[in-house]
Amino acid sequence: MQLSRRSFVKASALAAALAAAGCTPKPVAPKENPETEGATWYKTVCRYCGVGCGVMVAAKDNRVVAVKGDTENPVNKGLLCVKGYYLDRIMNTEEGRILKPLIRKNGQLTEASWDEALDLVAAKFREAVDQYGPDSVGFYGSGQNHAEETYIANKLFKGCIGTNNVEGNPRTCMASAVAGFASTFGKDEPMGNLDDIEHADTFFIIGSNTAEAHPIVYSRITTRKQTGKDVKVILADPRRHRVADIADIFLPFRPGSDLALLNAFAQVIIEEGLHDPDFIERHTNFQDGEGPITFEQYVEFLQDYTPEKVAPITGLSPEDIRAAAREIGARGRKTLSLWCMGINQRTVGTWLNNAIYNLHLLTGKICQPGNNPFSLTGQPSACGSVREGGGLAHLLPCGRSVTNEQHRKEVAAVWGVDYTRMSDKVGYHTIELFRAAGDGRVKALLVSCTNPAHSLPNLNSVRASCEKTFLVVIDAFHNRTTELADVVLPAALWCEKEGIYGNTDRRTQHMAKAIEPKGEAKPDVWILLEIAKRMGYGEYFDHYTSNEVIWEEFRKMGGGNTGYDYAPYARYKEERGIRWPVNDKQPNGTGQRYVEGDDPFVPEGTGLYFYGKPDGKAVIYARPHQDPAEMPDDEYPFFLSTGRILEHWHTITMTKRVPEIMKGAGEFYCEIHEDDAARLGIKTGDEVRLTSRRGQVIATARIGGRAVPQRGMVMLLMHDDRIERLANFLTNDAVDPTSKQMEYKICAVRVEKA
Amino acid sequence: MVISGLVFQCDPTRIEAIAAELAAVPELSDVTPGGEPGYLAAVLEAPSTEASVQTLHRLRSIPGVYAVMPTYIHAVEEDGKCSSPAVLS
Repeated sequence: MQLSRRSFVKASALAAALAAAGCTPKPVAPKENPETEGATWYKTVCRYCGVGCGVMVAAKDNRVVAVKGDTENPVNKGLLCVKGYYLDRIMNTEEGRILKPLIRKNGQLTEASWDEALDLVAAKFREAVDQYGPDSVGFYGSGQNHAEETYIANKLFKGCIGTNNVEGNPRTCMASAVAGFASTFGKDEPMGNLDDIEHADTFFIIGSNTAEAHPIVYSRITTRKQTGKDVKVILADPRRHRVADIADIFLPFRPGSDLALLNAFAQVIIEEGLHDPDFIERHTNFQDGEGPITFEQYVEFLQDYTPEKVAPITGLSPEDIRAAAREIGARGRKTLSLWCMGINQRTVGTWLNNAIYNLHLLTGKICQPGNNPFSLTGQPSACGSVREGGGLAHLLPCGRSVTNEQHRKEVAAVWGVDYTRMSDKVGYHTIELFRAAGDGRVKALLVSCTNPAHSLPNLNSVRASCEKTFLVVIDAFHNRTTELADVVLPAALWCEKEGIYGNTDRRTQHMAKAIEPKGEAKPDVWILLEIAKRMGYGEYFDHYTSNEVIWEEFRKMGGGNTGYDYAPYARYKEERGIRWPVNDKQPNGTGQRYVEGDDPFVPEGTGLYFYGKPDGKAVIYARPHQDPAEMPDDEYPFFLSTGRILEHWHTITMTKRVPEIMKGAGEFYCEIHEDDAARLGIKTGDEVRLTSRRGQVIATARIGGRAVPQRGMVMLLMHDDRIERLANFLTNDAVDPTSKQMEYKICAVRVEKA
Repeated sequence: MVISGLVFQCDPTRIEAIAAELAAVPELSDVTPGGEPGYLAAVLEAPSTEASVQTLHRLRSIPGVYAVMPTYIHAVEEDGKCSSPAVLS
């Protein structure tokens, strides 16, 4: 068969689409693609969200020449979202790339040599530590750092300098999930995994625009919805977004009323006998804020949350609340709960996580394929690097705590440092770290792979702090934080370096290096090691000659009774990820944690055992509804929420470098309900001024479109990086008292036509 | 010219109407039922990658279309040569 070039490509495109749509395609032509002829293919993981989609990269002549979804990776089975399939663009552009070290001289960032820049950084940090003590410096990392990068930074600051001022942007997205898991189960991270999607009968999605934020997960949900028998979707969200298109029940609750709603579900489940008394008796305890309570006391607590009492709080009808609760609790049906930032970025984020677990513990719908609570993560290695690596101010690797002397001893033994050098005091959480940078407590701050001067709430305060401290930024692209830095160190990007990522379902994956870094960029690991050595800690870091050496040392933190265990580095290079814990008893990893025969840490004969708790029982918490830290009033009458769209990622440091995405989805807007817009005389495309108690921004109005907020609420995309449009000038830096996560999702604003 | 293979996930009860609507989109061809209910495959041809992203956005907003996933994208110059890096699946 003779095919023109265009016909061949069309036939190939159709064949690929048909294969993904469930048809067996016919071979189109026995012909190689000329771009990839002679190229080498490398196995890696997508650079963006926490789903962990497998990606294959073809490189030739030190250039990425093709990217494709990895059909062998069980997470995405070859599919990629639009961000993923333009990954080549961020690798092949030099626009905005930081190609040389930069030092601020006379107010300007000026090119410098690596030696000059690193010596300056080391000297400034050394000077601060010697003069003001270890807590005068800090590290702010990222859920996009490789596991090895977090490990080295953690050892440098906690093990050698002796400060726990080690934070990371997972504090802004996942801290409430961590605190929720830890308080309910005694161990962080989910018991189930993404394969639960293919087993679930009912999806309960709350506080997650899965269609935009986790498109491959959403694709798997829609597939299950279409191919499973009587599969139901319940969406609870103040805003009607694309997930509502597949929802059987949509609950647009009033912003901030979700804890009352979740308690109402629990009340209906127990009142209608959908709970599982045997499971409750064998596997749970009850607590309120004061201490242990009985089941009867919990039931009494729930009497304040009958659907009739919760209806006026949430703005929902009692019938809809009951219908959803019955679906979630229905006997014989498997329920998978999914949530994300709408739950976590709240001053009651920990309690909301607890309340979701309550539903699964009351019904016994947990630790079985399709029956689980599953927290979705926003960043590619928030779990693998920061949560498991212990890259937060209260954590040490593999679930250990900085305040526990035995834990410090165990970690110090692996690090080869004197444990008495390690601080027993919890370091500054993120908001406090930046406040400390502003008021002189933190003299020098090292930021890696994140953009806090765009992404943190109450930006006026954060940006002022960045200007006051000695700020060092390690990044690949210029952004709103590098512009405030005293030193900028160019980092290797994605497949310019190798490393380990850990995704949302405990899947640890290796990312291969495919090309050399651009300009003088270096892997973050190299940069951190150089800083450590130049600060005088060389003896503790000289042996790290490869990523594999670092990983093998990190692995020693697992095992014992930690609940964590990882495979040798070599296996991750060959396999499409392995879900921890993985060890000799469970060499292929663990599907369902806490289940005997699956999870190697479960004692024999216990069946199901929540080993994070001393008695093996999870806790059902009575968590009362509380209003958000800031509610609308006469002066600031609208709820403001912030969020994102499918095509872009976070502060667009990378996706703005993709011309196709910027031209196709380069408008960043503020969604307003049509009734509010009409009342204020606002039309789509009008410029509007949003004002909160903390700041003011300009935005472009959007009425209707892919999502619609309820009346009295506006939703502003967080992406726009123009200084007058940074959404976080508005947002509230009030934090959850347990998790210290910020309430990005709710604050009060005034909306006016600009 | 940018050529993409697309997978549509749609409301199975409206699949015929959606298929008809897609067939009327000038940039789309070969609209084909998938192997499972609610699935369609098609080929998108657009003059540029920018235009293909814009069309994707428009296709996602068609009522009953839950998701549109690109599985293949390839730029072909008018003389038949390839240009930008290929994205395959």
